[in-house]
Amino acid sequence: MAINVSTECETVLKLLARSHNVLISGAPGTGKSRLLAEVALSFESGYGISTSIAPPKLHLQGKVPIPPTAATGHQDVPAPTKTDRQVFRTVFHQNSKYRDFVSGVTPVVNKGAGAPSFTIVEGTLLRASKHANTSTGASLLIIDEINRGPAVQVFGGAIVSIEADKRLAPNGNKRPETQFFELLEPGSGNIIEYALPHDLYILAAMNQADVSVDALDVAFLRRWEPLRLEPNEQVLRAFYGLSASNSNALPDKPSATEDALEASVRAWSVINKKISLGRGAEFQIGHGVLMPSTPLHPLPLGEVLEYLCVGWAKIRAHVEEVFFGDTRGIAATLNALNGPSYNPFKFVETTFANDLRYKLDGPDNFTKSNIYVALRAFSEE
Amino acid sequence: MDNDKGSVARILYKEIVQGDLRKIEAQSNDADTGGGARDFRFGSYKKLLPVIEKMFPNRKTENRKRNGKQVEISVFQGRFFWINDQHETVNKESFFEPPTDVRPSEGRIVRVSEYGCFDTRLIPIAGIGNRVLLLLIQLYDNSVWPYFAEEKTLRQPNVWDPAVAKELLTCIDATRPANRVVIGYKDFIDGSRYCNGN
Repeated sequence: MAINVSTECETVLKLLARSHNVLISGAPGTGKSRLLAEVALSFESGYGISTSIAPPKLHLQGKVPIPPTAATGHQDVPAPTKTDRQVFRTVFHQNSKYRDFVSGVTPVVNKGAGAPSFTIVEGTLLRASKHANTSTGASLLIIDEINRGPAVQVFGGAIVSIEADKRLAPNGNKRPETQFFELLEPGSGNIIEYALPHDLYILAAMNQADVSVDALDVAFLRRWEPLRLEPNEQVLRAFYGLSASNSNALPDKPSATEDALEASVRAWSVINKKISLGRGAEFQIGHGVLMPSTPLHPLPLGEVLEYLCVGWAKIRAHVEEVFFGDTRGIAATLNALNGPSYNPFKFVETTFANDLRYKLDGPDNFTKSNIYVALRAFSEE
Repeated sequence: MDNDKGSVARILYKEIVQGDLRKIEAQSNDADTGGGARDFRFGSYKKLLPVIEKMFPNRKTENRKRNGKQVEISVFQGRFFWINDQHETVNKESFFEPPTDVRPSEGRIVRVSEYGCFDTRLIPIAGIGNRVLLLLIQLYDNSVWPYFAEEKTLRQPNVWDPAVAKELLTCIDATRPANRVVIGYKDFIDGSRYCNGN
């Protein structure tokens, strides 16, 4: 396929081509948003190739001077023959409505005298479907945070029609398996039967570990091809400019940027293992949380330590959130139960009203002076 | 870089109409087509200027008759490349002249009948629903290659590069007065574009 398209992007395009609906899940910081953006760019520019990455090529001897490149004939991408490719985006939230996603009646704002007070809006799904119903059109509908809204209610009757084999045929005709649902047609105001087109592709993303949302129901989930993104140590090592593995002991004090970055990778990896054991793999924290927008490895040690303080403040907050109310769990994850004596975090048992109480003593914030020793302590297994 | 070989940097395009064909065949001297000059006229000159300056990067002074007097004008000069009947790559100096006082919004490629790449045998037959566009395709190496594209092949899936087909069809399908030909450009490097329709 295209040069410079990530393996995950290729996988998503392949899954979309096969199943039409793909659900990406993963812990925070595993690259879901980055992947959505990459797939959107690849889809819109055609065949997984961004024109900014791979411009059209002149074929001097051909009948057509600028044919699709060899890669564009790839069948493992959605709608390979459609030229009018458009991406539609929405984010689900607690107040997302069927009306916003499919169609429904809404008041008219700033209406003229004598004009109707209400209108029928065309939701994101309907707009994407209409575009995909044109002869050259293909649509990619991206739904971020799909589990933050009432997804089943928002899809409404459309839920029965989203599966690939329930869609219309590629030429727009009805197939024996095509599943219709009713909707309020924006143009006429009539209730009509509607089916989703072949070249509508839906890509959704969610963080299963979001504690503020309910789980999606099984009947809804089985209509999606799942793709799980995991925290990836090698991505972090590559970003830091570190070797793929390193078993050397960490020095007591960092003498170079690499020492601090190595401690950060090891600590992050150990903490994720502990979160998986104590709370579940879906509650891990992704590599992205330690990847700022600028590369770290060319920077001097002092600056690197400052950047690490920012990333590790987020990791600490994440640990405290997923183990909320469980001080022993937080202490164990930060290696303060039976960890090394130099760990700035200390697990303390005390009593209150003749009852055993636990608390975790430690610095309020990570600083340049305590971050390395903390990371070194976290990384000891 | 090898990866850049053949890569298209930008395309300047213009619909070819009967008047243009008569120009190439050197049969035209009517006022509607701009008199007897053998040139391709491009309206929207000011809008196209950024791309014209890239495709015709040099300036050359030429003598022209204006209002009955000989005057010196500065014209844009570049080079067209094409493949001839013997499958050899040939090239020839090309010129783009700025507008005259009489037609202030029209620039023109001059002496088109002298270039093998504009041979009428190479031009597809236009018709209703099948407009023909002249494409000036500039590559990353700055060479400019004239070609023709017909609407019906642009609408066929998987015949043209989808990004190119989409750009040209969007402009073909844009709304414009019936007597205005399709003109525009797309720069694949900086993403800029122009289409003379809405």
